[in-house]
Amino acid sequence: MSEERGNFAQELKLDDARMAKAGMPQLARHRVRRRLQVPRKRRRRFARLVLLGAAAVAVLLFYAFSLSRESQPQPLVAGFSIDSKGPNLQLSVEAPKLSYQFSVSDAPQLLVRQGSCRLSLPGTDTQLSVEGPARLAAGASLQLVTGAFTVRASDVSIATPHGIIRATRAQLQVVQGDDSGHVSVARGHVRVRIAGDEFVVRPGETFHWPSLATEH
Amino acid sequence: MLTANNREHSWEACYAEHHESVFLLGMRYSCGNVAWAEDLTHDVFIAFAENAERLHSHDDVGGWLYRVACNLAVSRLRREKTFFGRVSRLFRADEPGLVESAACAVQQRQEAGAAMKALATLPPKERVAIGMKLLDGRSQREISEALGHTEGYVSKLIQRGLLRLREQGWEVEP
Repeated sequence: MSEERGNFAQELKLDDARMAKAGMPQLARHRVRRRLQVPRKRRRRFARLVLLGAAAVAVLLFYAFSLSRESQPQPLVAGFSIDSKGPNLQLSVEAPKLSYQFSVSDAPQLLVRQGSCRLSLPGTDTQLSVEGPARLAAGASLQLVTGAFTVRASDVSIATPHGIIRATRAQLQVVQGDDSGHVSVARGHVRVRIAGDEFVVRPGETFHWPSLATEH
Repeated sequence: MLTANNREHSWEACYAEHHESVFLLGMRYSCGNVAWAEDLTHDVFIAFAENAERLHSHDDVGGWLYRVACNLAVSRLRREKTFFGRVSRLFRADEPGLVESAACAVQQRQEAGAAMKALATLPPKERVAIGMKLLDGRSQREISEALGHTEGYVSKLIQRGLLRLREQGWEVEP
């Protein structure tokens, strides 16, 4: 419950009379007079706001334009494809001339930071071409059609036309031609599963297919 | 109160005659905020300068200024509640002439009484309508003409405002 405060109209009139008696302060009178002599100053204040807004819009447009330029597909330089059927495949690739992040989910995205690459989305498959050695993040699943790349991988699965290569903490080079291919391991262990058989490729070894030969 | 008739309407004469009254309206509706009242006074006389030619045939410049001041007060109070209004106030601190000295800074606000503070708690339209009614003795019809609303709406504004004041413990006459 609020306290009793008296008659509002009377109190308000007293307050108003007190303010009227105090009158307009001399400095206020001076300031208003001066501002009225240069009325454009007020508009300049508004102009500052407009300028600020325009600058903000320009920055946003520039940023959006930069992003759109960065994501422009570049010429194809080499080839392998990523199987994008997984619901949330995350892939991070770094290379001397190439650095970008790629994620496949409901809306595939590619952010090119450096170098060149090309991304195409033919139907449900995502085609990604890279040049130079690449590093794949754990959990990546690739399908190599043709081409070659060197990869340093924590845990990736590479599907080739002949079989599947699983790499755990390994550095390897994969080459896939039209009829054959090979994987060379520089570090770590790589398992290759072809036609129901599984082969382990150790550092310094190269595994060829379809001849299923391993050379040192 | 702004009631003077002046057929010549020179800006200088009009300003000399009415700026105190306009400033007082600003002080009233801003709860004693000197800077706010200055802004309102400035805006009102800018509006007068822009409409001076149209006002040559006007009988009551004081009445015109009063209406403009009340409407601008409502507009300013409403604008200040918006996001844009809050942001734009940030840019006013460096406005030349607004704060010129320590003495000036002290003068930025006059101490308002309890009733004036209570008036300041009301929404803009209710605040101005009740001020016009209780302080200037305007009828609901005059208020409705000045603010551009129907009499019914003004009546509702005043009733709602008085109810809020009653809830704060004030004794108000219906």
